[in-house]
Amino acid sequence: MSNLLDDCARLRCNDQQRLTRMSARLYLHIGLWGVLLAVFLARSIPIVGPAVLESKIGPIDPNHSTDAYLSGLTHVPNGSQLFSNLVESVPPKKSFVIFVEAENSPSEFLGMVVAYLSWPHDVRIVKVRGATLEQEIAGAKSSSVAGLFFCLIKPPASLTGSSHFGSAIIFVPNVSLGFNS
Amino acid sequence: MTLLGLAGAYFTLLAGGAGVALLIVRSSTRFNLIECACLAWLFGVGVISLLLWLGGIFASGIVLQALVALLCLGLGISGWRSTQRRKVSFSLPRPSNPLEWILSVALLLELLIIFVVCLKHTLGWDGLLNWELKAHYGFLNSGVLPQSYYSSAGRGFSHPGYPLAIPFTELWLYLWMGQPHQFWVKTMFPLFYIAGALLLALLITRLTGKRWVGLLIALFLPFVPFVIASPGGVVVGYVDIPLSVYYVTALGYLLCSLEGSLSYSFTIYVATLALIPWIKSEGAILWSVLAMIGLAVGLYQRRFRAALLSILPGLILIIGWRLYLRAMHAVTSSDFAQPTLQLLSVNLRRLGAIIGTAFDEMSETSHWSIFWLLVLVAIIYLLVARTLPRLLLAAGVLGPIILYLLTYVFSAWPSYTAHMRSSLPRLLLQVMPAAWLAIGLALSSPKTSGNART
Repeated sequence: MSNLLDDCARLRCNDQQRLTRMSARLYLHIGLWGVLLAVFLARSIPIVGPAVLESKIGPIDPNHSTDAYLSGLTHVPNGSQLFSNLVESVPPKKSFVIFVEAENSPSEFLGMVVAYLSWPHDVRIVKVRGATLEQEIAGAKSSSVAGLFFCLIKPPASLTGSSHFGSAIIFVPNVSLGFNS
Repeated sequence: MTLLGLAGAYFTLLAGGAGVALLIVRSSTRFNLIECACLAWLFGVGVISLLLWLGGIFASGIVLQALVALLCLGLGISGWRSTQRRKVSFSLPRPSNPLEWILSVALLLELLIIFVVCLKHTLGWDGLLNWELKAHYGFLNSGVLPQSYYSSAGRGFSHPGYPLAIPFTELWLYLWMGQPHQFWVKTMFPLFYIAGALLLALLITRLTGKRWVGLLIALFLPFVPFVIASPGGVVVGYVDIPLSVYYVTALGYLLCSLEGSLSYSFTIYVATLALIPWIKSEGAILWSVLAMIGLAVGLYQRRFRAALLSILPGLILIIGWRLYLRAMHAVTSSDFAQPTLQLLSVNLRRLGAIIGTAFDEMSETSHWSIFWLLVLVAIIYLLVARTLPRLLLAAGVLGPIILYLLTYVFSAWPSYTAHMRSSLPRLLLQVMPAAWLAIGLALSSPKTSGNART
């Protein structure tokens, strides 16, 4: 009997120890995650907060994004529509060659926006490295080409008849290249 | 008129998606309305984009639009009738204590703010040139992407080989609005986020039995800086957030099926798994990880045949899309070299730099705060717990990260570390909600109750 009571006491003691260990683990768990999540928020809020507040809605325009990029890079408002008007004046079978400066992100991006807006014309984007522009232009001349676009890159002075689309895009039509067909 | 068209596009999309969701849950007697709405969006995107793609092989213009709309309405009606026949009751879960009320209201406000924030920004570089561009060209060509686009080397920058789930959902909005509209099309991106946050809350609630943990984790989700404050997050129309939502949904429902709480969990896993490779090319990697986990679950539950069949829809989609691209003579991406054993042995020495660059990225607090430290602690919890669902969840988080890092062994960029710095943050974003799921399970103490309140 006495042994049994002793055993019961030991069991109770073990239970209490286990409960103490469990609550210690629970406190540790809550403390750990509390600290981690608090640090997470403390590091995040100064970055996320301003990002949420920046900019404003609008304009609600079909060319909302392309207009914004063209406006930022070429300073031409309503640029998508104006560019489409330019492209529509060219026979659809003719293609464009777009010259961009290699390793220059704004130039490459603008070249892609020009390619995007040039649909349904076929396009070829030429990334110019160093002083190879003249050679690239010579290689691009063809009767199937409607014109050349230069995006944030200056065409050689030998190319005449160019027209400016804002401050960053220069268009040289086929007639100026001497391959009008 | 534009807004009426937008409403029509969303209505038909949600009708088709809800139809699929209701047909899946018809074996159940109860269905959560929030869950139904979220799944309707995810399945609707899949249904619309697949129907436009496949229908576009045979039809175009108004015929294609009418055909897809009728099929969506048909799906919606048959789903609804099936729930009526089976007497499925719909429930809207209500918070049951002050803490849940506070968290629910805060979450609703947060989702509203994110919706507004998404409308404030332009489509980002990839959002415009990889995704919206396809929708725009499809619209100009009577709802079908012309063969000349796929094979145009000059437009190779827009990745013609990327799958069409998101661009063709954008196209669906354009067809209904009657014009490509770069402002209104942005409304679909926060919907992915909202569906993902609500499903994450729901899945954590189901897996832990604690609704407050689910709501708390959903609240924390946008505080990962990359989600809102970096190019590539939810505000710029990229598809990494949508892909991450499909991934966490499939993973979560697979774990729920393992817990055996709901009869339809495995079917929802199969349906979302099939759509993962249709969202983005990298989805094939996420799909393969989940397919392996699904097979492991099948082995464990002695339902190997069902598990094997579950990977078939995704496999058919992957192969079908590849064959279609080949038939279209699509320009292939040059970001990665063809993986060969010889190249592997040559490039294996990259591993050290790859791990180093990954560590640098994961510890970049302006992108992630200390999110990946939380994930590390959560993974340790899951591994220590040594229960199958938690081990599989750990595999579901770690597996894609490891595979993504290994792909850079085959990077064809002149500088593979530059390639990593450019794309790794967005790849990590695809695993982020699944990692929050892991944190949710770690945060909760071991499950003691039976069925969770959902």
